[in-house]
Amino acid sequence: MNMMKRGDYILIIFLLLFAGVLFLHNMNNIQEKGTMVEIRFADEDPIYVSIDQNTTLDLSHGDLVNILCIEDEKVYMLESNCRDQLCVRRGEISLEGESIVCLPHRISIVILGTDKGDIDALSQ
Amino acid sequence: MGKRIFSILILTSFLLVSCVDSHRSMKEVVFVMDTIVTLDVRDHANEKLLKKMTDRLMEIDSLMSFSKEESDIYQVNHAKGESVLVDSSTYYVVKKAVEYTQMSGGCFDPSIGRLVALWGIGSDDEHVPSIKEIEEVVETIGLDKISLSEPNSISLMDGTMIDVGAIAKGFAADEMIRIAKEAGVESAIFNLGGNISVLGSKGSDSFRIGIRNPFSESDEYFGIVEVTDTSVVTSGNYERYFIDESGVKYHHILDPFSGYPADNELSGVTVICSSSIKADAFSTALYVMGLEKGLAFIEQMDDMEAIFVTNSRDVYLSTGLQTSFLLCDDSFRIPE
Ligand SMILES: [Zn+2]
Repeated sequence: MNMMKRGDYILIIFLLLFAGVLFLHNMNNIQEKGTMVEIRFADEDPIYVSIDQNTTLDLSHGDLVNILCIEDEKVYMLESNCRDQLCVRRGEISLEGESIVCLPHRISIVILGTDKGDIDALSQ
Repeated sequence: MGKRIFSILILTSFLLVSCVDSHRSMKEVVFVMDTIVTLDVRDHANEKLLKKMTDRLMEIDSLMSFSKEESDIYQVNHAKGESVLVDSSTYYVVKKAVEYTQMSGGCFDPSIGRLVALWGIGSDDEHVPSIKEIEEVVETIGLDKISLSEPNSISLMDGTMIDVGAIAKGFAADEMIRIAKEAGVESAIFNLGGNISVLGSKGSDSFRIGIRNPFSESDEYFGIVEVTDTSVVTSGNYERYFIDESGVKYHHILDPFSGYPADNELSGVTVICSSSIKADAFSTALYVMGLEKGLAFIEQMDDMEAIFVTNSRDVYLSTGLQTSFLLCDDSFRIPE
């Protein structure tokens, strides 16, 4: 080891840092977010809202009306003028992995968390 | 010595880089084929791969949609008996549909297009047709109304329409698995509007797929199947339906023989099969067959397993599922 030059040490430090940065970058990709509500409209990038803030969100686009409520860590669709009303009838969701979908208006709401619950997907 | 350490370090960092990359997972949600699709690629994921998958979904939709005027299926349905040259994927799906019609004795049949349109279940125009209308449309159903000629030409008897909407979803799921495999992905789960396909496993564990409780308004499940490398598809009378003035419920699984929604003791049927297109066709076919015929049929198939749920909450399993199915709602029971 005595034969190692100063340059080698610099290189080792540099590479370790490089690996560390990559590792952290990767961790970020797989790290689960806290308890957040993910809201998507069609193919747009999702928006995230914390489940512990009480709020009413107007997700309406043009004539398509959707009003989402987050209240006491529960999420529900208050109002929609969609044809099937399935999103409104869905009622409250509060557990990680649960979702509300308004297919006619192409809106999906999912509760994210550290634990996805007991199943990986629902066949229906 | 310095040089050796240098090259070892270079090698290590390359290994680290590639290792980091192969563990990358990505999730994408898209609205396509009149449903919501979740693509969850658990390793070897990158933007390019996810883009390739979503592009393929859009392509299948634009080829096989019943309602889009530019689709192959629309062209075939409006050709007034003329032969239409279609994309090889469309041809494959229709050919498979014909094969499954033969296997199921007509309980699954793609030529029910006009019947589906007549009822309009799930559309703005859902209604109970008159007996005369139904009788007329049932006449347009049958394999003898479809002719296929290699390569890629389809013609229908004038008046007949095909609807491959349901199995196009299964085909799309199979395509997602193919594309993921080709990219070196070892673990993935795809959800096409409740039609689930899994690639590989979750490390040392199987994927756990919940089976929807047909009597619940929300996403509850009454049981779980533990699966790897397969597809799980469920058909049920709760998916799309309407209720008329007199309170009668009409669901979307139409019996090609009677022309009415299949009316038997079943509430839902789940099929587990490595081919999702096949699982899709047979979840419908078994539902139409009913419990007794469906159970007898599935026991003769060695590449498919099934779960039947009756209106009285009895759960029947095909032999191959006895060990991998977990009942987790005690309002259901598995009869001896
Ligand atoms: Zn809605």
